Amino acid sequence: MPIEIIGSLLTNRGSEISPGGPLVDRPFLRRFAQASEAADFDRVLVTLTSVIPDPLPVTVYAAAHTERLGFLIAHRPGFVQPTVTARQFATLDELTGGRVALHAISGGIEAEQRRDGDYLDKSSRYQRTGEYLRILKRAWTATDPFDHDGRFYRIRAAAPTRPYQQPRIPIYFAGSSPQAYQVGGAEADVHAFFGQPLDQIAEEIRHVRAGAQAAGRVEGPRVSVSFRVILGATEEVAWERARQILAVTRQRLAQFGAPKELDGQPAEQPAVGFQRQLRAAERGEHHGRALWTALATATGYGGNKIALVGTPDTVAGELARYVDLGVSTVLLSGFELYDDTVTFGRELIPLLRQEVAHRDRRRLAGGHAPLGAATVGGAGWRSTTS
Amino acid sequence: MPVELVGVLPSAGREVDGSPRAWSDALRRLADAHEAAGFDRVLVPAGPAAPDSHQVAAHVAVHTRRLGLLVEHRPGLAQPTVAARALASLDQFSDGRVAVYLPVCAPEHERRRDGDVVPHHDVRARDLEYLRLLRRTWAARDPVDVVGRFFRVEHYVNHVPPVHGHIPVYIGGSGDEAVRFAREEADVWLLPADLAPAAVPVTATGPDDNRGSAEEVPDPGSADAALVSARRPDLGMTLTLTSDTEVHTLIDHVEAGATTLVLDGYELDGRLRALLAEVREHAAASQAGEATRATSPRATSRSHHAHRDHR
Repeated sequence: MPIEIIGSLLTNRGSEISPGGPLVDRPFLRRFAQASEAADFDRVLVTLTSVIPDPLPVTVYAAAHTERLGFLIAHRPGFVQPTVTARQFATLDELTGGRVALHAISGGIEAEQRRDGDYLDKSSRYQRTGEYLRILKRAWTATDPFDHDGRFYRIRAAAPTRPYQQPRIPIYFAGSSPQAYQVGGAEADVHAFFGQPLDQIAEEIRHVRAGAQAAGRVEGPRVSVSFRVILGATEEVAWERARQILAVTRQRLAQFGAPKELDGQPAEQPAVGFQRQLRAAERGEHHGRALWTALATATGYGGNKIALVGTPDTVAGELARYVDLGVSTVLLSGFELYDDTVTFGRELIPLLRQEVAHRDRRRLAGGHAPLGAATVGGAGWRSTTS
Repeated sequence: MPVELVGVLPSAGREVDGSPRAWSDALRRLADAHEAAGFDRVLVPAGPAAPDSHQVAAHVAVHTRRLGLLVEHRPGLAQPTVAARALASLDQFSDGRVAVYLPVCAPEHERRRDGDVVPHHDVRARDLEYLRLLRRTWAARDPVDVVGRFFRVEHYVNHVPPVHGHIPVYIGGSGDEAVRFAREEADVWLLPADLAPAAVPVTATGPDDNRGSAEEVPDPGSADAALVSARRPDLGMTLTLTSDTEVHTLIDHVEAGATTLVLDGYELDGRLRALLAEVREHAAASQAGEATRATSPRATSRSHHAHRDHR
C-alpha cells in the first residue's frame, strides 16, 4: 500500500529555532502550502492550540492557493456541538472538493482545556470524544434527521450534513493512554502516535489493535507516526545540523521559556504521548540508525520532538522499517519550515515512496517478506539500549 | 454616518449546483457581484441544515478585497473563547472585514437540533453571558478568568485578537426577549422594517455603558430596569426588495433612523446597482440636512430574513 506522507502547516515561520513574526503571515502561508503540494505531501496537519489562529480559516486560505493538497485539521472534541462541527467540516469538504480530514485530539494539557472552559477529567474526555465522533459519523452519513441521547449530548432532529467525500470525512485520532487505545481502536480511521523506537511503536500498534478488537472491528485503524526530520548530504553534515538545532533550541528556551500554550501547566504532568517520548530518551539518546531523542529531553514539554537524523537514504530506510511494522502514514516536519519542506520534496519523499513501493512489490512477488527483517543498505535495526 | 448596505449571500443550494468546484466558484462569483453592486457587506446565513457560515465567509474573504462580512453565528453552540478565537481568526484572514450577526433567544426546538438543551427560560441569560464573554475575549489584554452560570474560563490569554480589537455585533431575533436583548446589547440592532416604526423611539435612551463583564448577567426579573439604562444601538432594518420597490421606500427607512439596510430578494443587476447608489446619495444628503435638526435615534432594518428558518 502506498505510504501516506503528511507535512505540517503553520501561519508563520515560528519553530523551536526560529521566531514566528506576524501571527498570520499570509504570504508565508501561501508559499508554505504551495511548497508542501510541490513536495508531494499527501496532506498537511493544521494544528490547534488556544494561542494560535483557528485552523479552519487557515485551511480555507491554503486550499484556495493549492489544487490537490489534503488537510488534516486538528480538532478538540467537546468545545463545539458535534453537529456544528459536522457542518463545518462538511462545508469545508465541499469547498475543497474532498481534501479534508479531521484529527481528533482529546487534550493532554489540562491547563489548555480549562482555558477554553473544559473541566472534564481525562477518562471522561475520551468517553466524550467517542460519543462525539459517533455523532459526527452519523451526521455525515445519515439521509434523514436523527435524534441522539448520550451521556454528553442530547440532540433532536439533527440535520444530515453529507460531505463531498463518500461515505464520509476520514477521522484521525491521537493518544497513547489506555482510554485512547479503546476509543481510537473503536472509532478512528487512523490512529496517530508520536515518534518512538520501533519496539515502542510495535507496542502501541498491539494496544490499538486490541482496542479495535474489543470494539468488534475486523480491521483496526491505520497507524500514523510523527517525526521531526533533519537531513544532510552526509551523515556527518546531518548530525552537525542536529547539534546546531539542539543548541539553538536550548538557547531560545532559556531566553524565551516554554511555548505559551503550556502556561499554567504543572511541569510534572506531561501528556502520555510525551511521556513515551521521554521513555525513549531514558532508554538512550540514539535508537537504530537515525532516531534521536535529545530534543525531547532538552525541551521537556510536549509535541513532536523525536527526530530522524541522517542522509535522505538513511532516513527513508528507517521510515520504511516502520511501514514494515504496519505503519501506513508518517508525519514529517522540519525546523526551518519552508526550506525543509522544499528539501524533503526534493530529496526524501521520492526516495521514501520508491522504497515503500519496492517493498510492496517484493512482498507481492515473494508471497512473504518477514516483517521488520528487510532493511535498506544492509544494516539491521538495533537499539542502543536493548 | 453614511448608510450601510448589506446583501444576503445565498450560500445554500450546493446540491443543485453539482460539483463542489461549481459551488465554490458560484459563491465566489456571487461575492464578486455583491461587491460590484455596491454592497458594503454580505450576510452569510447559518442554520442547522445550512452550509457553515464561518467556512463560507472564509472562502468569500479569500476571493474579495473590500466586501464586509456579516457572519451569522448562533450563540451557545461553542465555548465562548473558542468562538471568539474562531471569529477573530476569520477577521485576521479578512483584514478586519468581519462583523457577527447573533440571532438570540432562538426557539427551543431549533436549538435542540444542535444539542443546545438550555431551557427556554434560561436562553436569554445564557446568550447574554455568551455575548459578554465574546466581547471580553476579543478585548482582553490580561488573562481572562470567569466562573459564570453557563461557562467557565480559566486563564485564557488573548493571543488571537481581532484586527481592530473588537468585532461589531449585530443582534436580531423574533419575540419580545430577543427584541429587548438586541436593544440593550447590540452594536447594530436588526429588525424587520415593518416592525421598526414602533420600536425606534424606545432606543433613544441611556448612555452607552452597558457592556459589563460576563459575571454581571442581570436577573431577568430586572429587565425593565436594565432597559432604562440600555445602550443605544445603531438600527438595522431588514427588508425584501420586489421588482417595484422604489428608492423612496428605502430612503424612508433611512430617514426613520436606519443606519444599516439588510436587503434580500434582489437580482444582482444594473437596476440594483443604481438603486443602491441612489440610496447612498439620498442618505448623505438627508444626513447633511439632519445635522441642523435635533438628532433622532439611528436604526437599521432587517427584513424577514432574520427570522427565516433555514431548514
